Amino acid sequence: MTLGTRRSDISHFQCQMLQSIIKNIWIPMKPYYTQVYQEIWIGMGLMGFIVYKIRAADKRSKALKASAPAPGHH
Amino acid sequence: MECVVWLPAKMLHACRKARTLPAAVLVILFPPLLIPTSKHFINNRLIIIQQWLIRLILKQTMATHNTKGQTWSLMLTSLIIFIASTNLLGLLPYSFTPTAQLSMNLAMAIPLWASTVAMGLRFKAKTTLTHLLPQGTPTPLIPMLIIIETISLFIQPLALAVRLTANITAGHLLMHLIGSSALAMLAINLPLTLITLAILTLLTILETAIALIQAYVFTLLVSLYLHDNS
Repeated sequence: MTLGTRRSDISHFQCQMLQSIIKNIWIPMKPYYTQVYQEIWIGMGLMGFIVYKIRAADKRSKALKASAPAPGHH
Repeated sequence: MECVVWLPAKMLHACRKARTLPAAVLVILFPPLLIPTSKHFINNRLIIIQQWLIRLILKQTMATHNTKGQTWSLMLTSLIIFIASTNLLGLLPYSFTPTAQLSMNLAMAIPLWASTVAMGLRFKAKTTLTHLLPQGTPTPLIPMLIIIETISLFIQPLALAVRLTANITAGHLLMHLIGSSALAMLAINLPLTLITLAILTLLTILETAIALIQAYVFTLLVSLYLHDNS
């Protein structure tokens, strides 16, 4: 097999990517993510909850429409 | 019609489920590529101009904040640069504007607004709650005014998102309609087409200004909410 296609090669690249992400993003931004942006995580949780509620309601209404189609549609 | 991008099979060897990525993700990730970072002290002209602009934006937006508010410098500067660059790129023909989608703007407005409210309730709860009643209110009006102020508080994220969406969408729609009408009239009435094209040019200049102004307004309002609560 050529280089870069074996499972061990791919996991090696993924490790390198993870190390690069930790070194370039996580370490400089750690004080922000852990202390400054605590309330923003709460806000993102609220937004995720709203998104979940909207998608669940949409799924429920589509399931309802599919199970009971209205008679006499033109 | 869903626009997707097929990723190379090698990249998704470990993940056997999804092999497509919505193209909107790439469009949203594109603007930061236009703002290069550099570790050098003296850079090329492009980076110097961009860094000068970022410093100007930083000074303008963060000058009125206290130490706690200034910890949000990175967030607010990134916000204004993202919205401005995305809006401006959306003026190019056949491009997709993420900030014309209400879902995108709500996803930006709700966490930022909620975090300012959470910060206010966490660090100065009494002051935050006193903001619900303006000074000098007559006593009989107090209950009604508290309800009105609470409603206006909860409308803030909706107003932020809808303002940006409506401005950008309306501008694009107007440009699209006037451009289509100019193209349709080209074979029929040339003088009217030229007038329409002149209107289109002026509209494009207006839309460029609106793109920058709306980014500034969004960030300014978030900064204002932060200032009230920090």
